[in-house]
Amino acid sequence: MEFAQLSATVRKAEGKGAARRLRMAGQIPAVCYGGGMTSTALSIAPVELVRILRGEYGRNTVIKMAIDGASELLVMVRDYQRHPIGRQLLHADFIQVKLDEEITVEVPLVTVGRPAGVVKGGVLNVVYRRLPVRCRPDRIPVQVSIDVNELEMGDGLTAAKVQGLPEGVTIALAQNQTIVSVTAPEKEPVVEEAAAVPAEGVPVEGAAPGEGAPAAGAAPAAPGVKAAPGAAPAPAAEKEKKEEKGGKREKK
Amino acid sequence: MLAPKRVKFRKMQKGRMRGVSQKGCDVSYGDFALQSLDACWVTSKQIEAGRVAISRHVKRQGRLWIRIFPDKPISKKPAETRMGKGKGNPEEWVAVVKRGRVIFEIQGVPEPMAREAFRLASHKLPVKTRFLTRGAEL
Repeated sequence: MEFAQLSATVRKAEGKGAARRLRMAGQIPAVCYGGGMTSTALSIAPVELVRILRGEYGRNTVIKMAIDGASELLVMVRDYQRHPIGRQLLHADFIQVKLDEEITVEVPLVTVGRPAGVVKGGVLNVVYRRLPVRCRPDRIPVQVSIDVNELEMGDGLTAAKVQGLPEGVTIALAQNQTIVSVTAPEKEPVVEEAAAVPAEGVPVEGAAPGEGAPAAGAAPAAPGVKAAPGAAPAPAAEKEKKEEKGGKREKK
Repeated sequence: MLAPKRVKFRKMQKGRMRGVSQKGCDVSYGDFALQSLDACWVTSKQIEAGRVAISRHVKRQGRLWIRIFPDKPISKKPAETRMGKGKGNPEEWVAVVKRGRVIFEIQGVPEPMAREAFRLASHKLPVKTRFLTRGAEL
């Protein structure tokens, strides 16, 4: 694994205004910590970091970071923030790593083939798109591939069954943890809706507006059915009468 | 249609939709997503229309996620009513969608099919939208 190069400068100005000025100048604020060092505020060129993140290893690239052109640290990208719409980088976090210490990283999981269950109409459910693995920084694999051709409907693949991992790389999950599974397709939600209608009609506070209220008094106030003499008027009919009266008064 | 099962208060104030969405802006569950580029109230009817458009186009293949939920009650006064006499009755539920919010996600269908399904769904929504692909965020 080759290490990427990134140059950074120590940033003294902190806060929202300073960060915005920095971004206007074509740099972004960053921070580096971990491995016994004190947290250091930095500024870096976003173009360089984007180039690294788009590389083969992506977020798992080990970077040789030159701070102010002098000290060189071995770091990895811990986190980064993007603008939700513009998608440009806004901030980055780096964590210092050591080549002789194991770390936990998330490696892309690639499924190979088309499961037999999917051919029969099932859906491949990938539980971990990025598989957490534990290894030394210089042994991080680009990706982990698993063969799913033989998975039938209802079958799953656990962490224990993943093969072909490079030497020194272990999966940081429980052995019986499901990684991918083939499930039956979801039922038509129309059926669920039909079942949900009576529940919505219950006149509890917060029932679907416009649906809960009429359901409560709909039966007694059925049109064309006269109430028995002396019987109490239906609550809904009573309400309607009151509203009519109120309306007349308003018009006056 | 989507609606809360029960709420603490029946009516809500209008509120404002300033700024960009701070959460739910990335492809988190599926392979492809439909992202809002405007701020708007999306009603439960519009969400349902979009869902139906997608599921009809993909012919119930794959898996769909609806990333927004209409939890805001909107009240309306009846027609030909004079002003005053209190706030109107709750009429519909809306989801407050800010710029950048992911509305739908899909998994298990090829990209051209997902694009077309989201294009059809976007015509049911009151916002401008954008197609997102997992892994191509930068």
